[in-house]
Amino acid sequence: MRNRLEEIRKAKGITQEQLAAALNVSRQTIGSLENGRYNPSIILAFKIARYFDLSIEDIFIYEEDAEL
Amino acid sequence: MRKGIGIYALLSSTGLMLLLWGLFSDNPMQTGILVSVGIIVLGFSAAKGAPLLTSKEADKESSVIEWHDERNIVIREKASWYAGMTTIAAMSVSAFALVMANQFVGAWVIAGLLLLYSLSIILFAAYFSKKL
Repeated sequence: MRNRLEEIRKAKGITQEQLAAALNVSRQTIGSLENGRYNPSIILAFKIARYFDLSIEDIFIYEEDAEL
Repeated sequence: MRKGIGIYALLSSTGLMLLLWGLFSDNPMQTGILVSVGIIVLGFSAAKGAPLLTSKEADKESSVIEWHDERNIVIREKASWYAGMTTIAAMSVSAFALVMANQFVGAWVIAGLLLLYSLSIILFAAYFSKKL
């Protein structure tokens, strides 16, 4: 799964620390999400989407081939 | 020095002393009791004290966030699973080796395995927590 988290976060001028604090997760989790090393739970995906006032699909792009 | 580390260091030393005292005792019953209590005290203090040595200084709030962080939870679960599996494999080999050595019989085998088990869990859990 790809995501546009880093791009959206930077466009809003928010640091990883600020986003992590707002979502109650560690900064490392934000870093891992942005690098694509970690896929979030559905709850965290909703929290991120709501934080940026976007839909989950606007941020996370599911690629079926990549999951196979 | 981190808070509480002194108590666990003292407990570790006590556990080690009890263990050594038991090892060099001539009375088999005394040996069994001292070695068992020593291992329990050493294992408990090591398990409680090791996180204090390896963890970074952080305020309480960030520690709570780190503990409940979903990625950290996944890593801990994976680390526990790998540590458990690796320990089981290591236990099988070490049990075989101890029995084959034929020097450690009865309580010695159990004491040795308990000690190996405690240390393996702590070491592998720490190793896989970093690696995964």
